[in-house]
Amino acid sequence: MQRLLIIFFLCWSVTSPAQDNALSDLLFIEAESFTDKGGWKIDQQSFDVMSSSYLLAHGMGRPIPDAVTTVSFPKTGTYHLWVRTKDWAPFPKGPGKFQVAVNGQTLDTEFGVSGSAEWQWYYGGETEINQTEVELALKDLTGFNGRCDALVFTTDDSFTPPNQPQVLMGFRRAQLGLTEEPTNAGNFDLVVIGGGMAGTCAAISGARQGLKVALIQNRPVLGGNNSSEVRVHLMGDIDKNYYPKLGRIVDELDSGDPGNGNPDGDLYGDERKLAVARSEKNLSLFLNTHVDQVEMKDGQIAAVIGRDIASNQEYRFSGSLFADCTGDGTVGHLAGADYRAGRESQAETGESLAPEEADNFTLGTSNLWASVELDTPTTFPETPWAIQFSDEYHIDEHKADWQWETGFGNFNTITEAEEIRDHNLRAIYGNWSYLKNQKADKYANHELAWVAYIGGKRESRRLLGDHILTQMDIQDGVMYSDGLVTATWTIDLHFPNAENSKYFPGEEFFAATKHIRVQPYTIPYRCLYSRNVPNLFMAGRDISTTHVAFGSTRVMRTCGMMGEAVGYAASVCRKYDVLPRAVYEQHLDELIDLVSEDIVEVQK
Amino acid sequence: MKASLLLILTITTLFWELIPPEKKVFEVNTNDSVLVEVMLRYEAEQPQEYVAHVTTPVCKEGLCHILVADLYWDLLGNFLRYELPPDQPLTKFDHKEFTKEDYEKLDKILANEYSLLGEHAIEDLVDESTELVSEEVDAVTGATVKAVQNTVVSGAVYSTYALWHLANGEIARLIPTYTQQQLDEDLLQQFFASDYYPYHYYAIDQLKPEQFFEYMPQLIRLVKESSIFVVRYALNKIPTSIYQDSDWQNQLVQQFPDIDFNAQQLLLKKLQSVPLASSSMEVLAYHLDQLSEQQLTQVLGLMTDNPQQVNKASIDKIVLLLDHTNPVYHQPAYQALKELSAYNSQAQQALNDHETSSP
Repeated sequence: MQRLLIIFFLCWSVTSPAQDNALSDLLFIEAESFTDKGGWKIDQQSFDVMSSSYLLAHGMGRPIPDAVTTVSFPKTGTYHLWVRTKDWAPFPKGPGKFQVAVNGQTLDTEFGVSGSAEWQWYYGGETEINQTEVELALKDLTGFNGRCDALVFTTDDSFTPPNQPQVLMGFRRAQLGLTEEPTNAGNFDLVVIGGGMAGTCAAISGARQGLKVALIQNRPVLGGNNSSEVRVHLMGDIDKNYYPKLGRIVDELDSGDPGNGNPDGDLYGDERKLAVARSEKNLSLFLNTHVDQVEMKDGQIAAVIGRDIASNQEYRFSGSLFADCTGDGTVGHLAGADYRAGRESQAETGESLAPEEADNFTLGTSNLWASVELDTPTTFPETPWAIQFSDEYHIDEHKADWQWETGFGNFNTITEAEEIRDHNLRAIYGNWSYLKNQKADKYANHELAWVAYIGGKRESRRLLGDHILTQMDIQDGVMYSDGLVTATWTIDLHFPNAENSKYFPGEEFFAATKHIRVQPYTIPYRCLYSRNVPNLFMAGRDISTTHVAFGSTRVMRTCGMMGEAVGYAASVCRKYDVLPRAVYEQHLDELIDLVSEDIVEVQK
Repeated sequence: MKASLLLILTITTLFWELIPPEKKVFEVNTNDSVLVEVMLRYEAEQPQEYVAHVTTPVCKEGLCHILVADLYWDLLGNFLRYELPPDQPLTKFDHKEFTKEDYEKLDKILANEYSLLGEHAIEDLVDESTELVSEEVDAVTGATVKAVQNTVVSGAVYSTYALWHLANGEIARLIPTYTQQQLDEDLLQQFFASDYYPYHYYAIDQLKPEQFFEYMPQLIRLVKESSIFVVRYALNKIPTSIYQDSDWQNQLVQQFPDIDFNAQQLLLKKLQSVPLASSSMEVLAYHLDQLSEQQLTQVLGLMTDNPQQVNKASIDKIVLLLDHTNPVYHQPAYQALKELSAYNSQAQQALNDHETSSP
């Protein structure tokens, strides 16, 4: 029995009209805890909505190998199976079909094709358990993104696992034993949450300044949108910096430019990033850990708690300083930090590029994909459940670029992250099916080589600092005394492509943009810490800007440099035992000196 | 001799018959002051497409070459294709012939009526500061401005620009007006009967509200066979009076299983605002177990909104859902039967039967 597999054999007290106070046996299994995932992938992107990860059968249209695990039943007998799943594409019935096998015997019920997009428990029928050690398997039938959150076996035929979110959360925590104290992962000078470019640079920067740093990342790789899981290339220049010392860690992590959505994932340098992070002796790396709770003390964050996305083991990270590099501003949100989401109105910000009325519009999320050309023809099935295309409208491309994007206020990028990803998948598979089956002369020999199941998110919350960067700051090139990180990217605010909008109003998945050119400008340090959670830094897309200014600051080399700056600032905090604001108010010169060191000519 | 003459005459006549007849319909002066005659071609006495046989100089600072091409448009002014004389291929800077890729790129560019080429003067498209000097002749050409590199065939900015403006300029704008002037019953029928989706939109747009009844056979054909986007367009344009007519309503509902999800949703939405005929309901009831949860709620809602029209066959289909293996169906089906039972004795009976047989 593998140690990490969290399976609890509980006597679940069930009260029902038919069976008052009956005692029955119940076995709860998180799908993501299966020891052998086969071809299934762990998806934690909706953790904040579901309080759990789940397994995803991401086979790009080809059935994937089974996920298999061994469990111990409390006793033999007749059990009722419940499976928590959904039909991810009920248009009208989705393709995510799978079955459960018990000791090699596949049960009849097919899951994932109910026509309902709600996550809920589905009854899988009765099964005889003749021995207590049992092998379970999840058998994918299509390769088209079936998904399974958890399984329950119960001897009580009147028991239905709870669906109501709060009750379910309690049930799940009780089953997983998460009511007890989380494992202590240590006490740190700086706890960085989020291992994208910003977080990785923040952690390395802090560690190199001598801080004891924890870097917590909810995926198995570092790099976020620049990892092989998302494959967006690094943008923003590091050679025009006011303080050229910033950008050195970004440069170390940069393994060249393979463009967006390159079919060769190795080119994005996951190993390089991991190697650089692991070589820092002051840096403790915690991969596959999703932070979903904070502990507050006297208005400050005392600790964050994260859960292993596979084993569900909880860990507690205490510290003096925290850096929210989650992109979504998750830690700030949990800690009660002020934030904005969507677009401010022109009246509020005075920006010419802001809309007249504030709204919930955000830039979208991309799931990139690529095909490769083979020597022989391949097939791809019809996908009636996907977005439908025709000669009149389809996207005649063998790979994706940044334009493949869903969001634009049609979906909430945090609470509907799963729906956004799924909409992207429906666009990709629907279009690819059209190209393969209707344009065989051009695409017969092309094969999907890679489709991202992790969404490359552009925008969510923006945590507010003592300064909120605006369009005017950028276009006027305002040099504040704490101007620190040099940004160079255009104001690049995507919107739905007009033709896509015509055919899919309110369901757009293809973007356009207009680049508003800017001269290099500096982002003030005051944009990099929360204005009301005193020990919280931020770096990345969730820093303190307006929506318009975010259009320029959001690119990953720039985000990485924000992280580097946070690492330096955190070291000043520790040296004087002060909070981030005091660095601006009392020790700004020292911070500037730190980022200026070793530079022969700095024109101040 | 006579026989030879007769043979030649016959062959000439046959040859003439093979060439689709065309007649000049209007002429256009291009920016380069070249007069272009636009012809309408016929096949089987039906207008097929417009064509212009173009011979135009493409010039840059006095250095010119002659571009000879036949350009074709559909009857609505959408550019279709160009044809070149076999001995006069397109050339790039330094008279290099277009490659296969260049032609493919040109096809894409010309097909984009919203190209940046429409917004820019030719001078904006070449970077005069980085002139390339021809090694072959005493000619210079500016390097293509980076921003429009995808908009032109590299090394052939002037040809691309000239062809795009011929294809998507004044001629394309005048054709719809000319076609509209010629529109009669025959041409409208031709558009409806065509397999070419742009004509379907056009034909639907020509119908006045009172004409829809007359053209419903043609519209049903489009719903069955045209582009998914035309289907949605047609379902939207069909007036409420048609949806209220039980026969046409039923014919439209018959298409429900075969149209795509978005069109299904549109049809259900249209049905919500009209009385639903018993026959239509039966068609929908037959497909209940193939619906998504959302659709099931909508269809059962249509039934409970029209309780008197729900016949025994439809009730039976709802009853089947009560014991269906898909749990998503149970509750809505039970709820619908309960609501229907207040007005419909068969529903009442079915509910009673189910409840007495349940453990």
